[in-house]
Amino acid sequence: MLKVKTKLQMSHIHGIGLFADQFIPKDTTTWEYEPRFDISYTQEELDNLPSWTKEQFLKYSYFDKKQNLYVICIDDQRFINHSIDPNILSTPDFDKAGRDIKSGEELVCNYTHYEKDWFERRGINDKDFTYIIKGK
Amino acid sequence: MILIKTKLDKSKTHGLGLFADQFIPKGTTTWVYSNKYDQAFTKKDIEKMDEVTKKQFFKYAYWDKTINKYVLCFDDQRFINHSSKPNILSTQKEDIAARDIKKGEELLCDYTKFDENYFNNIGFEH
Repeated sequence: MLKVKTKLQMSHIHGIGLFADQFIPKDTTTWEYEPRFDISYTQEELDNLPSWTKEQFLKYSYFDKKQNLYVICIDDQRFINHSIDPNILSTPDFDKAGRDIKSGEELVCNYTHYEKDWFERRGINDKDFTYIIKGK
Repeated sequence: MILIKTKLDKSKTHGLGLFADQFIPKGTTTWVYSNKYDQAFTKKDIEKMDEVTKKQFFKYAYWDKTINKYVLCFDDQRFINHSSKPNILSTQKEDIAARDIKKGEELLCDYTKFDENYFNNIGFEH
């Protein structure tokens, strides 16, 4: 569940992205896993989805090894893009700002920090996703 | 749960929108309510959310009077925009293409067809 003001916008990185809608000081907790609202699904539930929805779902979710479940964030957190040079430091339980982030900056995290094999599980080449945010 | 291929893009109507990513013949069921995947929340659940989350929640949710809960579609259906001249005919449980829809067209529905007080409940201007 997001803890800071954000908005969705077309991203320079990939499709739609999540952007800060306030100044976020370094170390602010920006997101926390909240089992009452963030939604978990088993592999079987995922496999029962229509193929197109399954593809969409995989794009938005992450696999939580501890629970052996796919988690899809209830809110716009699901739109955060991947970067090997992230401004958000992620763990499976919470995210925090790696540095001061200005209002209007895109928030990016490294998907492999909370799901080591994020790209392999989805059959995506991580080389296509090694984006670096420039112009800090 | 969306049953056809769609994508998100910048809308001419409002913010982001939901677009057809395939040809959709008239009469096609484009979405069904799934109590397994779509999420329903009581008014009490929502009171427990902090203000930032609540605001986002109401941007996407609708009130289903048949179950007395707010529903949040788990997929991109939550991005469908409102129109009084929709190409999607909505009910609380199912959406149907009102006419042939070309690939690339924005999908639009009339929010008041599934939540008659939508604009009052959510506190947004029509």
